[in-house]
Amino acid sequence: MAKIYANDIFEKILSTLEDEKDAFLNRDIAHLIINKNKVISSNLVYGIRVEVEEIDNGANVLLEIEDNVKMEMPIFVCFAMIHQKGLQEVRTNVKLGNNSHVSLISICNFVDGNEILHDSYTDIELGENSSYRYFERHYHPNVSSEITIKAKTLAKVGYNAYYKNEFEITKGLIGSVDLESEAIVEDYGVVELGMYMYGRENDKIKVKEKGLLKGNYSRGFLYSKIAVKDQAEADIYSDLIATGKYAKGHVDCTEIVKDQGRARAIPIIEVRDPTSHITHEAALGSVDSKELQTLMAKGLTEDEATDIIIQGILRRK
Amino acid sequence: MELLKFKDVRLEKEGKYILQRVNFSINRGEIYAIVGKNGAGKSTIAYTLMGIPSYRDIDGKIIFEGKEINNLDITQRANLGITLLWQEPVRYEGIKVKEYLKLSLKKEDEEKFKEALELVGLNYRSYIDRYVDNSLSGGERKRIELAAIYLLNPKLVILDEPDSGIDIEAINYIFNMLNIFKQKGTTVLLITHSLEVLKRADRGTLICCGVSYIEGDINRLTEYFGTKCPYCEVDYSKILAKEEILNLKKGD
Repeated sequence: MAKIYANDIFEKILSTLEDEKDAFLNRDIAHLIINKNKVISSNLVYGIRVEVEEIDNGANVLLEIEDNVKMEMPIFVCFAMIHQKGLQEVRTNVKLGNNSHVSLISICNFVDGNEILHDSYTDIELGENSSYRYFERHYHPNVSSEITIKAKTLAKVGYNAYYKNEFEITKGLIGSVDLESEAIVEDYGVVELGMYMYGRENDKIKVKEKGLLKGNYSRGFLYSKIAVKDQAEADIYSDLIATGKYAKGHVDCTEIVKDQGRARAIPIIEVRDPTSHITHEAALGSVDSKELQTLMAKGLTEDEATDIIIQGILRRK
Repeated sequence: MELLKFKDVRLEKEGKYILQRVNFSINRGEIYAIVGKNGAGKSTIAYTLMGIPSYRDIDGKIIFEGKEINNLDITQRANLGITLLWQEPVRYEGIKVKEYLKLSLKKEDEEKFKEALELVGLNYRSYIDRYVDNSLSGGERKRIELAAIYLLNPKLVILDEPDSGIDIEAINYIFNMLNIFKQKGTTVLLITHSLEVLKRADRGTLICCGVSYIEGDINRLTEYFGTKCPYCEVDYSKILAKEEILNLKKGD
């Protein structure tokens, strides 16, 4: 059932979005918009059940997909705080039935924020042979603010299921972000955890991603692309452990540092069965000088050229 | 008429002069070649002119449109109208061809992008949404760079070995672009050690051991390919095939 309120809040939330705006206006695409703790708009489609409980400072959200549901279009969710200050707590439970396939695009819109704490916890359970692709994009203000993002996700990836979780903050100033994302993968299951972030000024980035390849023939790929400039700092912990037989995995960290930025990558790979295989690759360094000079030879300043190169590196394909 | 002048330019790196004394001047609208063997200092002249940071601390003067530009950085020189096609253009992860071309034109213009790509022999539909990354061959990348420079419409374009890494079919598009630059009145500084490329120039300078020791029209320049360099005893007749020199002299 569609509950779309064409009110000022709805308009304001959508006005700052870029690629996703049309999806929230399309009645064929399922969506949910929550501002602080109020549902502003929802549009549900056959096969999914969404329950939202509004609490004092946020919402509890249940998203259930029945067995054998294959959604052609992604579900769009938006968590917004048009208030300049405050706390938003979001507790989400996602349950995906067997043989179901769903993509969810989550937008966190804090463009007008000044002192905001967004605190989320997500519990995900994927049935056998299912797939769940999740992408979270943040819109933050371009001016310095006290925005804090704390997000924790735990996913249980069932037999032969596929789970992908990507997180992106590449536009606006991050503020402070503390992410923990963990997945436990059963036999033949696959997990991909990815991070794309661009820290500027005094932004603080802390990421802990962990994959436990518990099942036989399970696979995991943890990757992060992080850039820091000015005085921004990033600490990235990537932990991939294989306990199942014939599990395979790879950890890949790319971090770009400019000015007085600081980046630290701490990959941990662990294999507890000799039939398993995990590899790791990390690259930390500055923007390539020849790439910079080529753009500067077209009249761009060093800062403009740096931003273009970094945005390119951080682009999801 | 004079657009650019190198006046007694010297550059020292790690205690050694890699440019010992370079003098030449280029007129507006001409294709001017810097020729010489590998390691002679040709690309160093390109980097020095573009203002690449580790090549900026020079003695002597670089004068562009009557003003000394020694103290200007790359962006400032580019904004005066100077640009560079690198011998091996870099790749950019996550940047599409259309976004790359837009950096030159400062706006999106499908017709202009199409025109530029077709001038270098690349099909618009096939390339416009591709990434300027490792998925392109060196030759494709160089042609896209040339298309971007065409859209930039500079006063002076430095082409550093434009034929390197290019196949026989693609080289004709590079030569075609040289003709277009000529028609548009864009001045070209052509850095090369190939006679085929040199033939496209109006005038040039032979450089060896960081010294420009002869300046003149192309026929005059090629005479020196049959002689030894007075500074380092390099025998130019061994660098270029005599047949090529003869063909050039015949105006072939």
